[in-house]
Amino acid sequence: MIKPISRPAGLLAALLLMTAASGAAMAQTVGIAAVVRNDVKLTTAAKPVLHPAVVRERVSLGNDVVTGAASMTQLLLLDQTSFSVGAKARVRIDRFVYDPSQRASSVAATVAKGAFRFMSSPSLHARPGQSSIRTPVASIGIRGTIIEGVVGKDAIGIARREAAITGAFTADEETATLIVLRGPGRNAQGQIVQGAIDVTANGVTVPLEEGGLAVFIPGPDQAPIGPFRISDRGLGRLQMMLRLLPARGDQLQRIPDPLTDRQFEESQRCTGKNC
Amino acid sequence: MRDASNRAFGRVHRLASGCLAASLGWSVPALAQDSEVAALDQLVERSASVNSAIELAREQAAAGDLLGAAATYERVLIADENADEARLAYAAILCRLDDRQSARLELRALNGAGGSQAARDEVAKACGVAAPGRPRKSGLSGGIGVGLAYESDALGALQVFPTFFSPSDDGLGVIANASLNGRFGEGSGYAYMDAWGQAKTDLTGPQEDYQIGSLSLGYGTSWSNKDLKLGGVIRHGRISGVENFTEYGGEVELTSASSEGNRTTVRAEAVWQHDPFGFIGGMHYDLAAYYDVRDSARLTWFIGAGAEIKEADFTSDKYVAGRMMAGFDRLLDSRGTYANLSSTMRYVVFGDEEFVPLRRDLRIFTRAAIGTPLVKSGLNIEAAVSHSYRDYSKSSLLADYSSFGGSLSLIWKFGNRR
Repeated sequence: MIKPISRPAGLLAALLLMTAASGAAMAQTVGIAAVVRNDVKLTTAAKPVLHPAVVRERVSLGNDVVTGAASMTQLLLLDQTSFSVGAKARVRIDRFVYDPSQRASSVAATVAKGAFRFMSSPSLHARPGQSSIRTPVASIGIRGTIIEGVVGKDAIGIARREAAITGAFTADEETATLIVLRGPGRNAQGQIVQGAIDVTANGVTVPLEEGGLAVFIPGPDQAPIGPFRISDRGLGRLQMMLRLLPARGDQLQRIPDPLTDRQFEESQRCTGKNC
Repeated sequence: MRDASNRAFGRVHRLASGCLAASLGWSVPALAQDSEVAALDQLVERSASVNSAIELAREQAAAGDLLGAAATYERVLIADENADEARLAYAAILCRLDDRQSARLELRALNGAGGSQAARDEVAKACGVAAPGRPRKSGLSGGIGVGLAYESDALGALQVFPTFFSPSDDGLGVIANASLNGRFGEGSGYAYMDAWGQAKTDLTGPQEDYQIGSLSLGYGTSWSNKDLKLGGVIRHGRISGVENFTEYGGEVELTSASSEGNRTTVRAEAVWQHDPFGFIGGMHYDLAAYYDVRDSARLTWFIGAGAEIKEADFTSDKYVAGRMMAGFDRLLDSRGTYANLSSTMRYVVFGDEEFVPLRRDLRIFTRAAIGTPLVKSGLNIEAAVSHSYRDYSKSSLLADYSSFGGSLSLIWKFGNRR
């Protein structure tokens, strides 16, 4: 027989256990910084303040990853899920559960700002729907996939140029979110789960189940706009935030001295009719 | 009541059990965690160089791990955006993942250059389309620009004989320029041609039209990451229909590129400057070095320095000069809108001769431009502002010169300039 008095005690025990579990988890390495380009900082259990990241530095739950301009990194999680972080971003891994023996995993991450690309590992597909990415205005439920997104005014910049977004909107430069499902598509080769996500904002859920589809959430308390097919220009701009592209071949043109500075003046002679 | 208590207990029990399981779940894999982290370390280690990363990605793809292969290529491309071989292979993997839109963007980013034929064949097989063509060694590139230019002191710009007072006249004119660069040949050697010309016709102001042209022809050879050019050069300039100068001679240029795509260039030139009036003809020697940096896909910049020696019959016509140059070019959006800024500072010391005022010139030229493509065929519209400044030493008793300029031009670029 269970007495009512035992309920708070049970709850307390559960909370203590949760705290213990959380504490244990906090110390656990969930991944590493697989590549670091330019200004990437993170917090770790060993160094709880933001410090320059180095390749192969261990990342644990709750660590912040912050990138500067023209900077990017790729986090590889233990199940080999890849989480690329673009320029001027701030992200964090909130939860990660991985059972290597069952080849099953799930992850929850937060993107506070900036661009990201998430590419789940096959083990994540063993627990479909248990992984998610949160932004300030949206929650993305992952059913196994490659997704890209951006939080902040760059999301607005892309959305405003998308012909598929026809209506006017008022956007918040801090929290506006653009999410793009990249794949894998239904014609992907091999035993690969087709990409699919559910984007929820302000109580409205929009499923994306085809590569190239996107949704845009202009700000807090606003429903998602979409799905719409993102243009090459929009996707290109998003990808430029995630990775540097080769310089244009014709970019390095040294502008010569003014023509009149050397050749004409060299003769020190006035040949014009005003002389 | 009991049912409610039992349900509550059940919830708490499940919660506590979940937490316990989570706790244990972390402790058990912790034993295996080292091996998982070690596996990640190994992946990163094998991604340290482009070649080993490509090898790793190929192994992953062969094992059916297309997502792992894609992640490996992404690591490579984050570290080195110029790894064309990896970009081609990445595009092929994207096609196999049925992400053709991204594959198309990756192929577009190649800018028609780089990568092996094998990688291109892989793209053709996976994507069903050919990757952009490799740059041909032989080919022409160049540009043509035409526009309106204004100078607050157009007269002073061509007032090539410095005066003790400063006549000034602003002017609006039509300015046109063209460049044509060609490389011809297969293998490591090639013939090259660099032609360039500019003409200005005044609509208002001093009515001092000018034309200037330059032509270089020679032979070049490439090995490893270096390129050496050796050739002849001829230039000619006219003001108001009258020959102003003609110069001809030789040039040699050595360029060395780093693995990051940065380039160091050293160029030497020796030309005979012909004076149509027979006074100041003589040899002119120029040695300059430039360092060009691809700081990112969007930003390139350069710095440079040069030195000159001019010979002439009279000591006061001889001079030595030094100059420094710097500039940057910034890509502003994915359409190709750009902004650039460059500046040259040149200090000229003329020979001291009895009864001739001592003369030292400081000349500064700065130009800023912003341009954007009008259509996809290489047509840009560019707006530019510039400032020219000459500070003559007081002992020379010459009047300083300062002029602001502005131009609005249509510029058509063609060919692969990579």
